[in-house]
Amino acid sequence: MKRTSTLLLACFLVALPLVVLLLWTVATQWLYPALIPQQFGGKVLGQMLQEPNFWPAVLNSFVIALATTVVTLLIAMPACKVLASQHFISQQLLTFMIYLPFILPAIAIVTSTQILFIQWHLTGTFTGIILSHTYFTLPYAMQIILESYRKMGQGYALTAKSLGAKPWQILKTITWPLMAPGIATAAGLTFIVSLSQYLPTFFIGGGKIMTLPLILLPYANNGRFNLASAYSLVFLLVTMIGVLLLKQLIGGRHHGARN
Amino acid sequence: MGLEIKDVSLHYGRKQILKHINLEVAAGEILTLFGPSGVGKTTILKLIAGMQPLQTGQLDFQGDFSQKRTILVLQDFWLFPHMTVFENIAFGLKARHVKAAQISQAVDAMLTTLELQGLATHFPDQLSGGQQQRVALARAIILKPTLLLLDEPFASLDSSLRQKMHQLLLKLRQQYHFGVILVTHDRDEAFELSDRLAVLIDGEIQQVGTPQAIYERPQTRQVAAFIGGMNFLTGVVAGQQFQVAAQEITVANPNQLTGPVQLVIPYEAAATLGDTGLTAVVEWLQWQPGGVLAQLRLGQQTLVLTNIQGALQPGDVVHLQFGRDLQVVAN
Amino acid sequence: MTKKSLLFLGPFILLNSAVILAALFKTIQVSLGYYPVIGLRHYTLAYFKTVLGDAAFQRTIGYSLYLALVATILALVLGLGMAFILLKASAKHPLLANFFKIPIALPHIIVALMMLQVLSQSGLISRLLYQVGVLQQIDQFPLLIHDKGGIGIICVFLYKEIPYVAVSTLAILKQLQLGYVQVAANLGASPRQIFGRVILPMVQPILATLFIILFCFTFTSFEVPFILGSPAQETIAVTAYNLLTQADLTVRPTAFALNFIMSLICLAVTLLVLGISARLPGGGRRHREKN
Repeated sequence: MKRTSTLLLACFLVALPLVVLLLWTVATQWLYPALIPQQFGGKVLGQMLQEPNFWPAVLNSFVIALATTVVTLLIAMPACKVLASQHFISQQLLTFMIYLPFILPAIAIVTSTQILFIQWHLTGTFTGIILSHTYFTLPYAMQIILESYRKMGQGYALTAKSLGAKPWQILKTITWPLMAPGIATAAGLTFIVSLSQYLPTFFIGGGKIMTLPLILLPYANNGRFNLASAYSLVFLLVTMIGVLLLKQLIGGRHHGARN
Repeated sequence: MGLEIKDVSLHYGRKQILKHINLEVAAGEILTLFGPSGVGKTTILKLIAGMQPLQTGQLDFQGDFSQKRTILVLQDFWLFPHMTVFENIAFGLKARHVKAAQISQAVDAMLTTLELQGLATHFPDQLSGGQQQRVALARAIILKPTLLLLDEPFASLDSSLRQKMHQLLLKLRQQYHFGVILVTHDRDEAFELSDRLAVLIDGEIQQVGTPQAIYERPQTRQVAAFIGGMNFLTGVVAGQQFQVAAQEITVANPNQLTGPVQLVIPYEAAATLGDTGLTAVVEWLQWQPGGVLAQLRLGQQTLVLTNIQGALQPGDVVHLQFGRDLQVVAN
Repeated sequence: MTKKSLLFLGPFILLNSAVILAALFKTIQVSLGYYPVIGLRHYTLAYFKTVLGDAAFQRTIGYSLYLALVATILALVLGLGMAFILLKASAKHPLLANFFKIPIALPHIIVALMMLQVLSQSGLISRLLYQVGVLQQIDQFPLLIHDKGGIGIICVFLYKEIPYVAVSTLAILKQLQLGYVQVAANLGASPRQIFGRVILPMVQPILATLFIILFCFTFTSFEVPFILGSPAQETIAVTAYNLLTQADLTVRPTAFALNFIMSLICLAVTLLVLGISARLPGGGRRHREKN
């Protein structure tokens, strides 16, 4: 069938570069014009593990992304709760407000707020990096959580409140379990986006705090395919671990909400 | 004992949702807020339940009544989908940190009262509409409310089930002595369940009274039109005398209107045939389960009646007498 | 709005407005020549004149616009096409459909690296063509990376954004598929009329939103052109980056003027697209409030 073959072709185009990337991580020799490496081995991976920046970068990336996810959820959840049911701001203005970080150029925002972060002594600190990441991850998280709140409706929380539940009881027993799938998606996406950030980490971190993108970019730029691929693989592993961990932590429910 | 709502108004921005609402509900009474959709009926319930802050006005809870002992049951039940029937019903007691043994006892009793035995471990999506409704009621009643706020509670049920639920609600009220403010736009439901009706149109209470009083003596054309099944005859009134198509009959005119008005005659108003009375020509007849539906002509106007005593033939000239003075309302 | 609402919204508004307002304030200040750190205290439009008047800067802006427009339009067209394919095929092949979405989660740096490995002169495609005998020498392979046309850059964006557009529009197509299309067909509309009068009005608001997001991102994206761009032709973000990472602070006002101009272009394009979308069929329905 035509549709199936188009989908197959699309998936092939998605898969091809990924396979090449994986091959480069295990290739010790891959000279032109060979289609597959002449020699395979774990030399590249070993070399990467020997790098002094490897473990700090992995840990820093993971910690920053996890903390950014927590901060993002802490900011996005209450804001979306209000925004999902408010009558005060027009829907258009609200969308514009939330999406503004998508519109404004990251490089302009990062380099100009850098001056402010310097004044607040936040450059070169984890706090500074996490805050700047949070600015970039909020639109992703809020988009999903807002939709989650709207889909859930206000009825469950209102009912629970009328039945005498306190706000934290409502959050724990109603809102969180019912929105868990949405929250997990938002958290996973936030984690991925934070992990991929280069500019804010570079400018706000001031080069003092090493993360995976900060190592990866120069290697990719200098055509060091082996090492860059190996780091990419680690990057993808960290992403998967983080996303699965968040999903596990956030939990879920066995019975569906109203459709 | 009861709740008095005093001069409550509400607006969102420039949009006025509620205008000077004054109402009271007594212990054990069923008061129905009756009106078209989107006129703020649900909003009144949310204000009473404290789900939404009051802007102006007052809620005066007297005696046993309090906001804490007022439970709101929203339309569509909103049973927590991730909790079993048992957990749903136990929710309010758990929130109040009642001991597990006591909760279990109370929930079991509720399950029996509402004929939900055997469903304790089911999840809401495994229940029928009627069962969901009963769980929603059990979840509220277990908290011993003095006032239940029911927002279109039976709207999603089919008509035979709705009948049963009406009976159940009346039975539960007798057993637990709670007052009810019921929101509905269903006229039969309003008439069947209410001790008193408050008709709410455009954010304003148009009329409060017993179902019979509202039906027979609607104060305004809007109220009569919303109740439905009403004939409106255009004519002129002076004092108690109403003129239409060169006839004159005695009417109720509590608002002392004069000049052009509408005479309200419910389709189901009981009429007998006599030698005098409102004279009309029978245009056509149609058999219905409840009696014969007759369309009559009165000058240029037509009239539909379903409750005329006596044999009719199309073309007959009849003189209609109603057992009471019909009411006129302003145009 | 109640106090509680303000408390709940506070952190979001505070962070966003602090970052955006601080950025705006600093950008305007420095780009207008007030930069006391290096002794500049006099407001001047000279830096804006430099950026707007200099041929190299003009080329940079033009080149970035070209890349952003080509990548965005291609991503929207191909992504919408893929959405139609997924609409029918995703139920039958859920595994393939999910696999197709993987690029959304991949960082741009890694995708740029992958494109290097596939499209460069020593990349996989070049090797493949050599093996089948199309190429006799490596340098017969066309320059797709570090080239002036920016083919590699565009490929990275397409790789990531076609699935993104497909997933975003699929949700809307799913709603409209059975209901409205059948009603329209039943009322005798031709396939062309169905597309123009039913499908387009329903998807154009989301396409407009996606256009804005993708355009603003690709126009000012840094990592991808930094890795794959031509040394002879920089993009706007790479130019700004190069200026801002220099030890020489005197180039900063120029860099900030460039920042300001690219922000303005993004805002202008946003307002323009929103305006056009609102006037197209289906535009009035955007953001219709649900109650």
